[in-house]
Amino acid sequence: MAAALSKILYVEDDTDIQSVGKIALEMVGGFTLRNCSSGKEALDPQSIAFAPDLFLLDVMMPEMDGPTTLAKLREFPELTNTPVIFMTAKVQASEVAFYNSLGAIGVIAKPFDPMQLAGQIRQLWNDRK
Amino acid sequence: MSADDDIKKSADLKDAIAALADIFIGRIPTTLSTMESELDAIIHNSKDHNAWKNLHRQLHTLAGTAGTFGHEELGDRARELEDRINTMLKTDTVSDEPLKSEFMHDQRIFMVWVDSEFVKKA
Repeated sequence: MAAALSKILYVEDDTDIQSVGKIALEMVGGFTLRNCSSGKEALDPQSIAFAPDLFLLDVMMPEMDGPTTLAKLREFPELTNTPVIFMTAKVQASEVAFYNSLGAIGVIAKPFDPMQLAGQIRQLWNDRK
Repeated sequence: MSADDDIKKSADLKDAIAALADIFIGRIPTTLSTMESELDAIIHNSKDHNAWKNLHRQLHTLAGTAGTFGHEELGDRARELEDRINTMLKTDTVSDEPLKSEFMHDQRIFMVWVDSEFVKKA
């Protein structure tokens, strides 16, 4: 049986989308979130100390994109195996294959449906190998 | 958790998202003004890659946010323009006059449409 999903490190540079994601995941999903507006913020000591069960990363962000943020998060020994889900508008097969090659347990297409987001994440979490 | 709790949560979420959507709509004039500034910079110098990238960023944000708030047509139209800039930057054709003119024309039509649908009607 999969471990329970509780804490999510959510990295999204767009403040409107971040707000929608936050209320959808907290209100509907009952998750505990740490919201970051950039890859740099995701790498600060407080984010690392948050010890998330899951990374939820926007792909296209200025300065540091989602895959780069993931690579840097992976440099912390305690985060080496933390599952990751990417969120992106680019969900063609080749792009999804690339995210999977980075170890993603899933990709959520943007724009997302706020009513379905928590359920989508829980499903990907439960289906992970 | 009871079905009543689920219904209440759903209603609360819809209310919260509607409030955020209103804020998003309220910021559209600022977005259009920023886009106009980037277009001016591009007209002044079509090789100004920063202006192209800033306009691309504005369109990308608008596309993602609009879709999340249920404004699919706004999101789709912004995404189409975003993709065109992406292609022009990748193929280094931002200075190609016919391509640039066509893009500028379509971008302005888009902005007029956004203004009429989301600013003047608000």
